[in-house]
Amino acid sequence: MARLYAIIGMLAVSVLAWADYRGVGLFDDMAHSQPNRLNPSQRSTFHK
Amino acid sequence: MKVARCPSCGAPVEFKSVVSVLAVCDYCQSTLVRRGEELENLGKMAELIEDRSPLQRGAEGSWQGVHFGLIGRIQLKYEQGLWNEWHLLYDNGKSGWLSEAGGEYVLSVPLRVTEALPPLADIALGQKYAISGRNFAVTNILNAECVAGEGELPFKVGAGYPAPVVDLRDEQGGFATFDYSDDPERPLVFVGDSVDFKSLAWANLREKIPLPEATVKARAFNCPSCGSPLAVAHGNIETVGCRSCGAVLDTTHETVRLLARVSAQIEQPRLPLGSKGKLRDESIEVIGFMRRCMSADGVDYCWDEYVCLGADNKLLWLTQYDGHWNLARVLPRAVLTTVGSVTYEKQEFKHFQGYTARVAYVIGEFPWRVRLDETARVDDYVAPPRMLSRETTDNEETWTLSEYVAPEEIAAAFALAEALPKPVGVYANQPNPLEERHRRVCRRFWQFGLAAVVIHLVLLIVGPGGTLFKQQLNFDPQDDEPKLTGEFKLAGDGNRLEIAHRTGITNNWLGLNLTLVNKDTGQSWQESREIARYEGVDDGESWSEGSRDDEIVFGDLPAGTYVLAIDHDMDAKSGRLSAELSVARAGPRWSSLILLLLALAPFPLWTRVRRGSFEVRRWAESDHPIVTSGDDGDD
Repeated sequence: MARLYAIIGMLAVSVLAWADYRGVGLFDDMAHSQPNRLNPSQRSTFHK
Repeated sequence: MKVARCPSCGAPVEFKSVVSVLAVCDYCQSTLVRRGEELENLGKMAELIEDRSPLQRGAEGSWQGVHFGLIGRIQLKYEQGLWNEWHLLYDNGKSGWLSEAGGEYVLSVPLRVTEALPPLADIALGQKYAISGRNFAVTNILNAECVAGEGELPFKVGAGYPAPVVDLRDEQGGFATFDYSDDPERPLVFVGDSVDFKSLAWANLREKIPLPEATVKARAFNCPSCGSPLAVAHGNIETVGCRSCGAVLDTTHETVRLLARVSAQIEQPRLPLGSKGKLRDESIEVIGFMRRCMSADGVDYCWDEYVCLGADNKLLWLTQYDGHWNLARVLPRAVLTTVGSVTYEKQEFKHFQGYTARVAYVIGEFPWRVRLDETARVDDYVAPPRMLSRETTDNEETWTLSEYVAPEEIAAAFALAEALPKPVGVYANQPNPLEERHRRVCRRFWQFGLAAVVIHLVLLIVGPGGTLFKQQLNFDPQDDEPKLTGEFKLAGDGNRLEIAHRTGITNNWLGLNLTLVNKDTGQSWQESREIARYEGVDDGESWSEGSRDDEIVFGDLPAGTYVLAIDHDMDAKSGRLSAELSVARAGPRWSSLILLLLALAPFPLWTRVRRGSFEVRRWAESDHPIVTSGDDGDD
């Protein structure tokens, strides 16, 4: 069991390190919208 | 050194020590007392009883840097056996004593004490006395008798000389004797220490020179009860138990006497008598076997005790109950008891059980007088894998330290052809096999926890996450122009952007339409948020709902130059609202760290429960069972 725990623990710490590096949080409120192309008028607004 | 002539045989008699008043002639065994320049002959001294002692007169040693020689000895006998008191002469001219009993050695010197000491009649086991700053407790009250002597002695003594003595011990291995031989009201006091035989740097021991004439020869005889052939192969044996019928025989005289017969069924010992082996660096030989029993609720529980001789003639015991084995040895010191526990070598031993042990039958050789049905009060204290047992009779208190030994180790030590039976149940001092596993899992938990915290803190400080900018925003119901932030860059793909608003609104709401634009690619992401916070007091109780703050994470953003447009919607009657906008690359989350610890915690908790269930089973057999709320199940 101690060996299994060592494996699980190492995996868990690795996942934490990855999540912390990428800024991933289990309780994050995520934006779900898909990216859209700007229409010409918007483009002129944002490219001033 | 003074040399005189034996008045009986004319042989030279040496007095090495000025304190010696008596010498036994080496040639004719005359007991000679020094009276000025003359020697008075008190008659023949009885012959010494052969006792397998490695010591002899003329042996030399060293104690605390002072060389000494053995110049005389007296042999004393009490109801349990025989011991030697060796008279020492140190190079500094002082004399002392080396007590040798059952492989235990004690060095002592006479001490003049100022404290008033009780008469022999008032002494009781366990009484405590402070002698020259040390706290001693009475452990033995013996009515001994001198049976023989040799060499030089500092007092007059002879065979049959009574020696009522009281032994005391302290917790540091200190030893004291009250000797009431001369006066039952005022004892002579000897104080010293228990010493390791090998630490005395011996020379001229008995093994290195020809043995005296009276060597031990196997003495063969027939059991007076059943006629079975028996033999005594060791010296200093007081009692023999017949392996055929269990009769107990006194072998101290030429004629073997029957002491008791046994009606119980005799079981042959699993370790044959005479077996020799090496167990935990100790060479041992099994010489006797004893079955002892205790009764609880009308049921007899019996166990085996093997009497063994170790190195330096030390007595050791191997005990066996339900397949559980222990190697035990008598402690040369008293142990401090407190309520429910004792402390020995800085380790706490918890009281396990108290009972009365009875000798059921014996087989083989015993260096003390065994009595069938003899009882002793026993209290066991455990700190697995060790156990301390206090055994108390009317005039003796002994402490025994046992260590749990696996049956496989016993079988290997004695090279047994057949494996020993597997242990049944949980024994008092059996090591908890789940203890080590629990310790390992706990150690892992803390290692993983520490690693996670370090990783988390390092990434918080130097990781890619962090605030890109903060900006104060003001929202007016009359202003419908979207607010644009400054440009900011994101490098690499898969970026996560955290956009947070902190407001101070109360009983109001604010709708925000966020448009995140990648100016390089022309892509945009839109999200709507509503921040609402209401609070009040109803019927004297305050309430609140909603939040003044809001956070949202945009994930998987490609590299590029970004700008954020914020359009707002709010109550037309509302006043101006302000908010602090914070845009950050998402970094380490504390919630992730807490989740990790929560995910890893069940393992040590589980092993702890399992370990506990083993302890419940162990203590179920004790005087102090662990009370549990439910069934713990089996391990």
